[in-house]
Amino acid sequence: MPGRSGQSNIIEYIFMTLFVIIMIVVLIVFISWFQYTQIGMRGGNLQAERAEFLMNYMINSPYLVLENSMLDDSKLTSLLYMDDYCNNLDGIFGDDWSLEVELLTSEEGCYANCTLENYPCCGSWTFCDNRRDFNKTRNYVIPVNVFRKMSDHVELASMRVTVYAK
Amino acid sequence: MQNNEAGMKGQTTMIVLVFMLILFAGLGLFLFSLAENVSQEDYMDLYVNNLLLSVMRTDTGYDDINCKSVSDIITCSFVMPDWICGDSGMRCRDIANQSLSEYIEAFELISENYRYALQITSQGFVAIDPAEGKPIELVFGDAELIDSRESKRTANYAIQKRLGGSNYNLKATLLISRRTD
Repeated sequence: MPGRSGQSNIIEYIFMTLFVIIMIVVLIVFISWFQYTQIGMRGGNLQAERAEFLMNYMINSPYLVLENSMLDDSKLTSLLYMDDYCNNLDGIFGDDWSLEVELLTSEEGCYANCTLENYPCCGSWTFCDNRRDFNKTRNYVIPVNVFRKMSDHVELASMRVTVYAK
Repeated sequence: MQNNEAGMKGQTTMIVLVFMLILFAGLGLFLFSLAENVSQEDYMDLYVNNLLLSVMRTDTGYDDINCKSVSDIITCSFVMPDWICGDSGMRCRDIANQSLSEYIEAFELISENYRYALQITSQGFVAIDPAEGKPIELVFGDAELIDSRESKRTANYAIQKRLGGSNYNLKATLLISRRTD
């Protein structure tokens, strides 16, 4: 039956061609999706690296610490009251971050936000938290110490660094 | 003969189809193996090391020179376990037990997600427990974690103190492991 054999051959070729086209389209879609997710992952890794860099730099910065990972409460408080402190710190650390230091232990029971009025009985400092235009954020917390200059005590605290994606 | 040829041609076509499917599936698996994940390794190493360093340097609230900071209390627990800290009426070993768990568990990441153990070992000397006559071993937290085979992160801290005219070197090792329950 040559007629039928010819028809089945044509159908077979059409089927094979369609199959190959579908496989190529699926492959293109898969690779595009893969690239998209990998770009997102890479962005996440870059933010994580940025946050680690900022944390490492801040726990050693003479503007904030007495010694490695021991923040000085007098430096933290006075920094808050410098004119335009955030822009000055941006010149050192960049402009895509905010910092929060919070005491976890306090002999005097002082945990309020620090101001010049309530220092030294305070236990929380927030820097540059006005980046509200930025959407995507990652924040990282590490344990640190805070040296209380007036009472000569070392307290346990957490330092939260938030990195923003512009 | 023609039927035979048609049959063989059909079989060949099926083999080609299966081969192509395997090829594309293999390509997909290969790409997945190259996939990048968001890495938390460096962050967790920094976290654990800073946790141990910060806890060791924290003041306990006692002015007694043998009990001022957590590292002082730990040395006191090792060398003079029955020492009473100031007016507290408590032995330094008991204060160490109480404060260490309080400080480490103050961090939500640890208290909610991780088991921890803090092991103190002597370096260059052996401290004997006067009550039991055995070498002192100090472990705070989950002691089973020390010998377990699960994946752990470790941080070390060297304690060097002078007590009663003698120098003592201790090593504090903090181990943490993600909770599985």
